[in-house]
Amino acid sequence: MNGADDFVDHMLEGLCAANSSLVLDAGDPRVVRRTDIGKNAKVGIVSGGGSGHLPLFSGYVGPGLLDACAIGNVFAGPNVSSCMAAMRAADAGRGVLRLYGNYGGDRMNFDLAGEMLDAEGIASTTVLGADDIASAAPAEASKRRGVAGLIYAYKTAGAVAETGADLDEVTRIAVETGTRTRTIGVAFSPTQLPGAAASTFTLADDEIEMGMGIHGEPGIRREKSRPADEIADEMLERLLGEVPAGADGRVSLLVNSLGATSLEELFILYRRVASRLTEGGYRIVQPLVGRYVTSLEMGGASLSLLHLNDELAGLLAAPASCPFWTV
Amino acid sequence: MVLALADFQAAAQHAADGMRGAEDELNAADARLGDGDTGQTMRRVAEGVANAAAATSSPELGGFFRQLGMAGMAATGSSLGTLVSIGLIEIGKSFKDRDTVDAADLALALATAEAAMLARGKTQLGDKTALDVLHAIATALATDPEDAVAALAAAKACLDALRDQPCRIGRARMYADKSIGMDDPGMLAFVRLAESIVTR
Repeated sequence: MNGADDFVDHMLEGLCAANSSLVLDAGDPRVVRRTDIGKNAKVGIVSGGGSGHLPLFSGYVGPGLLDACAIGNVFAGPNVSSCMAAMRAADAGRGVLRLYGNYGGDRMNFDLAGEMLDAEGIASTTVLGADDIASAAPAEASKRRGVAGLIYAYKTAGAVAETGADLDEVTRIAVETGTRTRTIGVAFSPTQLPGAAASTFTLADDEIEMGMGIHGEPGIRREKSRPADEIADEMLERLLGEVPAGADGRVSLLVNSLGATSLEELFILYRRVASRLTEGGYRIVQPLVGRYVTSLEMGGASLSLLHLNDELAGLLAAPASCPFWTV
Repeated sequence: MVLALADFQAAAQHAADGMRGAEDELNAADARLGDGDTGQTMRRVAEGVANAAAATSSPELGGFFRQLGMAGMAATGSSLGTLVSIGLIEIGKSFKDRDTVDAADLALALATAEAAMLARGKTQLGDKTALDVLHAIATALATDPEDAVAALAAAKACLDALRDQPCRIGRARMYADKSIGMDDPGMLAFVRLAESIVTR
């Protein structure tokens, strides 16, 4: 980086310079929007949150996905005016879905932005990503954090919005996708915030932490490292401990790097998880392997499962394009 | 005691001075369990608010406080900064169409703001947050609106009383046990804010 104070702005400027489909909002340099926004009278979809998770959030702005994102400092929520600017950018007269992760600061600012724009006549709804099964027990599922599985809701809600569906329908699809998505992460090494003197947490070279969140939130257990297959088995077992009602055996599987972990390691995890799923009678649809939701240079990986039905399978397969995911 | 625009403009400048002076202390308090940016956040918010205050010439206090709140929100995305901004906007609602207020009006407006901030922050009193300090101040002022020194003492007593309690909300709740014996950085920030305004 050039300096900690410029980290976010330089990152966003580079992201938009490298991708002609993205542009910074003319009135707010912390808002990334589609270059072609406003050509269709569709329901707008906005997301956002702190920096440090690319491709999340702004990397998923594009046709069939998000319309605009509000971006905060590293691991800090976007401010209220950026949330409002993103919603204004996404609004094409048919309302706006606010679709983001379940974190207190993000919620406060997006909620407030929604109320202020409601007074201006822009209708909006909220759906929160809460897929991290390690962050709260099933009985308190609404307290769970949103992590990598959020991109599945981007995809299905984005697809149904492109069909001209109304705000209620787009909201319903996002909720349905969220209730069928489960994620668990594992951390191998910490990250360091730009300008910070120390890492966000410490982990010995031979230790891993099962269930750690994407800001270094404590997980379920810290332990000595184990072979990839054993780690994969435990993660999958935890995910399949909570199969949602109405699952028909079709799943999309996302094997995601938290930043520093290589594609090679991800494919080693994928090999085992896919094999186990197939043995268990599951059919994998549209698998994803790569860096989809990161935590700067944290070492580690997450597994996400979206349990499909006919409706969601169709929306997952619908055309979409953004710098990091094309269907 | 009658308070008008110039009094609140001066208080905003004192608050900004106070937050500049407390920046390192607050960052250090936050770094123990958090990401160490509370001091920077509060300085940015207070400076944004002070600049907006200085730029105001209309004496109507409702619009004035709303402008301060909007400036605070533009300065930060942090929960604490947004809560402060929400409080300012709520005070603005209480002072709508007023050019002057007295100490009792201010005490009532603070209590109203506290309720709105608790609701927005999904926080309860006793969770060991900045709003516990605000509650202590608002409660003291409800007893005697003119006695700012007693209100400041109540703020400090609240900080002392909750120091050995676990934090129950926000990111620090994950380290609830470790938070025992430590000052919550948001609480400390509100005590320093009150000091900078009262002991100007």
